[in-house]
Amino acid sequence: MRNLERWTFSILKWGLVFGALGLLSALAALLLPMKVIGEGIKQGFLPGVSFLLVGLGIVSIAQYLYMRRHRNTAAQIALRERDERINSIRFRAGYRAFQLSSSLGFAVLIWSALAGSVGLPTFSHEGLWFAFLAVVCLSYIVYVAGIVHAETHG
Amino acid sequence: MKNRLEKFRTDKGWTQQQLSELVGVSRQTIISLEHGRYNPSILLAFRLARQFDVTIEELFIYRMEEDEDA
Repeated sequence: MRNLERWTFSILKWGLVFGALGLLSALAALLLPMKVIGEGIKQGFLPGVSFLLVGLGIVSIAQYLYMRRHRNTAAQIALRERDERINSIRFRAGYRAFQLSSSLGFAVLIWSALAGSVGLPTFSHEGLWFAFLAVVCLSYIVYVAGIVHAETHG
Repeated sequence: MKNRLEKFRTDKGWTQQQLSELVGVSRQTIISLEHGRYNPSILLAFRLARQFDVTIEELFIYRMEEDEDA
């Protein structure tokens, strides 16, 4: 039970850390002058990071509040979090996703660096962004598919 | 690797859920173990053996010919 308390408290702790960092990032975006940090960082990067961190913070705090109310569900989730078979499945799926993302990321980098000099079609700026987006999405798909496959057949 | 987990568990009159809570794993892991689809870590093997008051060798049956890497 103490482990469960510690685990649920750690969710709250990370929620507060993410939320605080998100608010700091939002404050920085509001207060730092554009001349110092540049338009891209002030209007693109910092607000994006703020949304992500504040979102993660809200989700974690909501998760904590739910687990405080539903102790049995929290115990089941905590058990699954430290279950060795599930962790082994996640590890294998993560390793496959890492192999795919590193291989595809490397291929896109090499292509974008060398395609012009060997007469192959080159990526536009936007095309390169979509290529890396595809790498990220494919990695997620491989990770989730690996877990689902192992859970249903393993 | 084969095991006698289901036999020992039913002899004790425990459900899969009860055994999973005793050794700190999910019920799905107990199911996978009983069907021989998952080989446990040495720590989990010790925890299971301790629950039934038997040795690991009594609970899990290791055959070298089944181990392709041996």
